[in-house]
Amino acid sequence: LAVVNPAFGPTTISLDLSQPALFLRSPLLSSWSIGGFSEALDLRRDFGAKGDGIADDTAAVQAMLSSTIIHSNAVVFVPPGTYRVTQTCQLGNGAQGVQPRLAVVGLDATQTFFRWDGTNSGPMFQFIDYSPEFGGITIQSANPQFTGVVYSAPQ
Amino acid sequence: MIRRYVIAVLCLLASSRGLLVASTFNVVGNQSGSSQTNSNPHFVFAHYIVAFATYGDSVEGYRKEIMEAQAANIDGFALNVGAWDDIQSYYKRRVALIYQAAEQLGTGFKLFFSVDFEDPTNIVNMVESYANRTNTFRYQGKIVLSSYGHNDVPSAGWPGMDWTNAILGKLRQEGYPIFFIPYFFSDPVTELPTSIDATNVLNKYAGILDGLFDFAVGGELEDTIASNAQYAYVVNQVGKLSMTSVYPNYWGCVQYTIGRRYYESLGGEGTELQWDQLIGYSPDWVEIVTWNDFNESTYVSPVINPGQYFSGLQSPRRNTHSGYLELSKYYITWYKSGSQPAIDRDALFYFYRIHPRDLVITNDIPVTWIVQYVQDELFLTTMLKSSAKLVVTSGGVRSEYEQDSGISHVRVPFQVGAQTFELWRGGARLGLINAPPITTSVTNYNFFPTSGFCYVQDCVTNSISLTPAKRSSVHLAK
Repeated sequence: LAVVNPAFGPTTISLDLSQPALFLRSPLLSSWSIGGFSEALDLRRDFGAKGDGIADDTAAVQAMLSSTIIHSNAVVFVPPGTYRVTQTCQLGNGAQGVQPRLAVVGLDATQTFFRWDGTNSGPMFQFIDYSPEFGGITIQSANPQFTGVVYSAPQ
Repeated sequence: MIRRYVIAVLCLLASSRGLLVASTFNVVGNQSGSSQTNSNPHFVFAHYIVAFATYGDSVEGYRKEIMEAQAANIDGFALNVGAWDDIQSYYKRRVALIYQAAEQLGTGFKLFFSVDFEDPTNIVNMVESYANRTNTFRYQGKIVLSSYGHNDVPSAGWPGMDWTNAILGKLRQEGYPIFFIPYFFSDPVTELPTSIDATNVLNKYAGILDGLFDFAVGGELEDTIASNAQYAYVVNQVGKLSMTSVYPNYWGCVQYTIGRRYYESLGGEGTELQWDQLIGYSPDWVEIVTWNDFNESTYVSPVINPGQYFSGLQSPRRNTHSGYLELSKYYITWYKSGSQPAIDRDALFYFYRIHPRDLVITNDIPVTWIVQYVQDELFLTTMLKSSAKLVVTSGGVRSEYEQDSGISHVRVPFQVGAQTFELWRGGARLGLINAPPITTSVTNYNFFPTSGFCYVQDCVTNSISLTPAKRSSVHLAK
């Protein structure tokens, strides 16, 4: 699994990581905990997303989900922007024993968009056994039949 | 028929155990998000059964559990230890691993012992072995120690232990002062003690108690709530520290001789009801009972498939209870902060049994202790930033519910078959949950509810605003 560190500069807005060990808080998610995480990642910096509304960021978003194989307890910050997704991104528990834990956090749902540009009605995300925590993100689609998230619980 | 959630204050007042509560102080829940009335620092712990190694005997597994607990704003584990010897050596081994995990993380996770065996010498040895470790919870400069019973109960013929001299006195003599906050059995023993029981225990053990815990499960929901409220009130009245319990669900799966007791806990409704009540009367500490008792259905560990880790828990399957813990995060934060958190994300939680109550399985010991309200229902909870439509399809029967912003609960009669739950807003389907089916094809009774959740996000369709320049760029790039 490749976790890239492209040359996109650091975002001007970021989570306050002054207390990274315990309860990360952002201005949006200021009122209650999103928990303690062993790693704080960034969708652009660590996974190569562009978020410019032009590039196809599907691979970066999928890499973010797949990274839970090695980053089993991570929060991923999504800088403001529009991230185009054209294929369903999946996260399955897969691994035996210790399942991943992931939170995907945008700073502000009015500035942070995952846009579905696939040819079908989605879903944009398909989770099996495990559902990550989301916050501060708006999912968009021009398809009126679109579904944002499909979660299949442990059967 | 839909039953919208109503705070069960009347239930509480009608409960025989609740009558005393209602007559002595107000236990009506915190409706306004007002600040806590108890000025002591609030902590939330979880009762941890060391006999069950959720992810196996490894530092990595225990690190994972500690992170899961801290993600829910839980401050520490009360380590239930059933022996401290070389016969059941896994207790010593696992406690060592748990401490290693906490130290490796370095996140201040608190650990203290909840004694569940009778051997004063070994108890002293256990406490002293970990007295100077960084993660050992100290309060007012003393090492915190708890217990599940093991006091003397003459009417039951239980001699208990000499806590005063052989344990607490011995530890003090050797330089280890203890902050003692046990759950002590009342006399006669009852699982749901009252204010009178609390008074009697406080009087009998006044010289050694710094606080008192009420491990109140195994009863009707309103009775467990009333027990906790009465206990905390009496304990605080005499200047001791109160520790209240909350629990997700109760089924005595292996209580074969007494009917395998099952009590309805109402899923997310019951979770909210318990927390709403205790936030109102603000006990000093809370202990979730339990983190991982996979035999009494009281676990909140989010482990996806608890049964896969222990051969002894393979039948019936332990269904994940992850929704209980995830929903509890909100109330834990509320209790600890003293103010109601804003809801800044959308989520759907589900709670239900996976087979009908009256299913008959001929080759298993029947579940006969089912009293009062136990219906074949889905318990669904929505946490919404703004209103949304909940669509439930249970065994092919579809129903819709308009859910308000905030936290709302719906009960839906369940049908055998597939279970799907959808959230819709403004014509867009935010999310779809394919939840476990309800079946009649099981070989063992299984009253462990299944519980899960899914977070979704604002989902907007047909309203995307694209600038001509950006659309043009997309075309050029292709």
